[in-house]
Amino acid sequence: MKIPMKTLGNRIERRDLLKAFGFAGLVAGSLMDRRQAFANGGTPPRRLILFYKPGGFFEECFEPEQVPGNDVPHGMVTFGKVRKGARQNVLDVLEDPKYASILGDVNVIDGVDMRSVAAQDAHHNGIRAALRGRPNGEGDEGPFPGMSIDRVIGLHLFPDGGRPVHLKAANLNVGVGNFGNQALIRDCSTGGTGIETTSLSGVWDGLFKDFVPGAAGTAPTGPSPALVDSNERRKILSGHSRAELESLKRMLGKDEQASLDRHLEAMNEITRQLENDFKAASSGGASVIRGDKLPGRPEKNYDPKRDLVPLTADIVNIIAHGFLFDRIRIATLHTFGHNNGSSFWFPGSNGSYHGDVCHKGRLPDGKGQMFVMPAALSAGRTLIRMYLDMLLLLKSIPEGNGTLLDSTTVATFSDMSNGDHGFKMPTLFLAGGGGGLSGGKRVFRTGRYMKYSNRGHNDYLISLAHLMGVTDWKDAGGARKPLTQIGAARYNQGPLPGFAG
Amino acid sequence: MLALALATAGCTGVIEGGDETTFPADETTSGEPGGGSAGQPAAPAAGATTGGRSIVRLLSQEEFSNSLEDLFGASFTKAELPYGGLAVTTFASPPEDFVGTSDFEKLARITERVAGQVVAKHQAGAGKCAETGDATACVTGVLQAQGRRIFRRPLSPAELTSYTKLYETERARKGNLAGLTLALTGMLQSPFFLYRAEVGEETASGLRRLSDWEYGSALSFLITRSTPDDTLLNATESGMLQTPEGVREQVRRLLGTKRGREGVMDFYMRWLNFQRWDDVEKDSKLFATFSSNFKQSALREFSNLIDREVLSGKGSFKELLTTSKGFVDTHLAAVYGVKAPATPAVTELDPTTRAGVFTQIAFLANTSQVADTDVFHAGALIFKQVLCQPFSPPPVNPFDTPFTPDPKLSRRQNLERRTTASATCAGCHQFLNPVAMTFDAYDPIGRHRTTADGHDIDTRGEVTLTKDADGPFANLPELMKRLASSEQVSECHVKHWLEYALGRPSDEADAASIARTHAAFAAGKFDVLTMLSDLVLSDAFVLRRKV
Repeated sequence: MKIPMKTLGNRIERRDLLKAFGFAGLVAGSLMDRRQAFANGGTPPRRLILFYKPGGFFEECFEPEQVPGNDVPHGMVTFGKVRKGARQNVLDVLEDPKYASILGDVNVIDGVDMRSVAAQDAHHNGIRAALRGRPNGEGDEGPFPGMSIDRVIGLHLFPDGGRPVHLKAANLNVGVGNFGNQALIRDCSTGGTGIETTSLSGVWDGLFKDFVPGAAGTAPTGPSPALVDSNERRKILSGHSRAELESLKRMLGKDEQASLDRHLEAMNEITRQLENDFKAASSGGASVIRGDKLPGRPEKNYDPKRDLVPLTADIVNIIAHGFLFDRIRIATLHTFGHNNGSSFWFPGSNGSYHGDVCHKGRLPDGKGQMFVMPAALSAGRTLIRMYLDMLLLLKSIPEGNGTLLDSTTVATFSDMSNGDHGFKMPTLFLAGGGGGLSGGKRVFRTGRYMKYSNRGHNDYLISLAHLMGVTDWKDAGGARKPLTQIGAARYNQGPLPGFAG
Repeated sequence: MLALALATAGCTGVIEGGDETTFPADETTSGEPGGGSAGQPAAPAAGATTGGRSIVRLLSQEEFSNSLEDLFGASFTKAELPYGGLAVTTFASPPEDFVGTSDFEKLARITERVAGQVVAKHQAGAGKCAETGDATACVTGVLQAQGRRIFRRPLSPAELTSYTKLYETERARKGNLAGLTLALTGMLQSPFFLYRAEVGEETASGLRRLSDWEYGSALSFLITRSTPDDTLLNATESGMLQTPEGVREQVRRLLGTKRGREGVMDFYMRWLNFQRWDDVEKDSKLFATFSSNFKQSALREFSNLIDREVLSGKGSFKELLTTSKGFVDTHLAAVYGVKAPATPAVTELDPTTRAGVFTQIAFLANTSQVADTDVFHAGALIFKQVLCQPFSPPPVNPFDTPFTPDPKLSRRQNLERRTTASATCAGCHQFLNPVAMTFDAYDPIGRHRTTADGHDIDTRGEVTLTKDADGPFANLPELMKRLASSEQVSECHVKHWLEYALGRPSDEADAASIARTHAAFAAGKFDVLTMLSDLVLSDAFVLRRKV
């Protein structure tokens, strides 16, 4: 496999980045062809959903009772049982009969700490640090400078050149809710398409609009005159700006020129992309897709707080169809924003914000922050239900001889473990068959409780990358090296055992 | 010498600048900082290393937003703006380059919208360009005028031709107004608007000096974080920036504007790491008085101190570090243990517990945790921001090693045991702890205390490894007075301002300018505004190495 590297990689990344600029939507290409190929038994691609849970909960309530061994089937673990000295255990949700059909698809992972997220990164900027495997204030180190793990995996899943021409971006980031000043949630991945929304229409438009100009089910009519006009203007401007960039570059020294190269590459790519778009449009090559195969374009506006749970579920449904029609292969979901832009609201907590739940005095043992336990427990359980409902949905969508869950990995990650800004051990969930098959069996065995000791979040990221097929990288000199590190070396010990086979 | 001392001690910390070049000998002092003919520095004296590294700076999100607001009255929500990547958390970091696809999309949307509004407003005015007939001459005039404001310099003839052509192309397609809109959109998407490139003009010494237009732009972005206003553009065009007096007049004027005040405040907010102030929370059971109103009062007190000791022109940097005057209202009075004034007012506080900005509630609350103090955070800030001697970050998971506090020992004794138990930690903590521990005399909302966890608090400490601030102190006010009398500290402040101005770390080539400006800073009784006027006349600010 090839992954963008320190030098060459940037070039690839920038080209890719521009495909999200919004000009790439008019090209020919049949979504149905790809959908049909998978439906007829073709091997679906690997897919990944990263489900981010910021703000911390009461992590002690997530830990199952200690069990012998570090990699055991669920049958040996009673998730709902209260560990000695702990309070209620929210993992009892896993034992709800509603989820019996997917419990075997889930792995519960403990013992991975958040060492590469700095205390000051938590909350607002945590997602960027968590996806890059380094504190936001630190310089880039490691094989993928400036890139987040979803970007790395996205570029592998849709490598440059092999990507369907209609794909806008390798990776999609959705901030569900209104995040106000938390801009990093939208831009956490350095590239890709970032959408922040309190409705579904934005996500739907991003994935399908260019192929279904009218409402779902209507006959495609090709690009709208307004879009053609807008693209023409942007094409003229991009050419003009490109010329000015070249002119500015000539006035500068070598180091300063390099600063502008990325911008220039972007402009070059815009120009190229627009030319391709117009070729396709002028040849009448608007894509053909039957709208009735898609969920209709949703017009409803959701309340970012009250409706957060159903909004998230509905967005996952649209993302699932994005997978089905091969519009995207990786999506990152952040679902805890609220319209005041600074406080995190916890779904299931009866209207409480982070501060209301997590910073209410000392624990009786004096060693940490007191939580409002009913709210913390309810929020924890709601989070798990949101995750498991996501799996149920993916499992309900048939594809080929199985379901969408068979080709999709759904992983949780976080900025910290406890709401009192602890970084010790967030319990993680990792489910699905996105790691692919080997000998008819999933490469990644699920239905397990996996306990690690003193391992960092970066090791988890590497393991995820390996699971999705990113196993090596090329250094600046072109030498291929095994991928054992994300971010600075001090945060890494290597991939976690137990992810392959 | 300093680095060697730390290395010998086993500390993995680094001292900014890496060696003694951070504190150069004062061999190049020449009276007027940066003084030279025609307002800008003369060619550097033989042997002096001057002229800094040139960098191309993408406008930060704030600079971009402020510029559009000041140019056209346009305002945007944060979510609409491009370049929302990493917040600039240090003085020396320019914002990231283009960071994501959303930047392009947002840039396109905003510039198209603003250009449309500008054209609509223009067409509603008396000097509107005719929709029909030969509108090109009229439009060219509009482009020339707007181009000077947007590019922060006059358009070259070639540029004017190019933008006129852009107008004509779109006019042929969509009409006169569309053409004008497209041309203005192009200016707003131009790298000459989005970037601050300091090319400079060749001097006899081989260094490059900022052109008058670049210089005016640099002044404006340093002080106001925005594009030059019309007054500054006119002053630049008239040659006013070629004399030190002219420069000082413009600097004074800009500092007196609303943007100027915000700019200075921005520097001090960064200096004390206040970027995360919105996130500061306290345990409501332990600190019931801590509320959003309390936070507002604390920040207002901080702003008031900056107003008094920096912006008024009557204060001094030394007072910033040592004053026992607070700005007290009903929320803060109880914490300071003084009677609440009827309306918020400058109030004398207990000088044995309060001395300057580092003993203010805002700083102490900002550097504490939710339920406890964070003395190492506060102490490390003293080393980094006051002494310019930062320690390297602590190791990953520094508290993973099990540690059981001894109930018979005080908090300080337990913390010292814990942080000096291993050679790795002790390397830095042996120097950090004697300064940091004094902050334990203030609880997480800044209230002074003498006991904690049933033990008396020992506030005594000692400064070591500095050029001229070494010595013992009894408490935090004494520490601040010791630091305030140090040349290393006041020179460090000049260095931070220079780095903030240049958007990059200072290096050895800047040392002479820092030293000269510092000498003038001391001679001027540490008035920050005067120092800023000197700083912008320094070689480091106006000269660049040859590209």
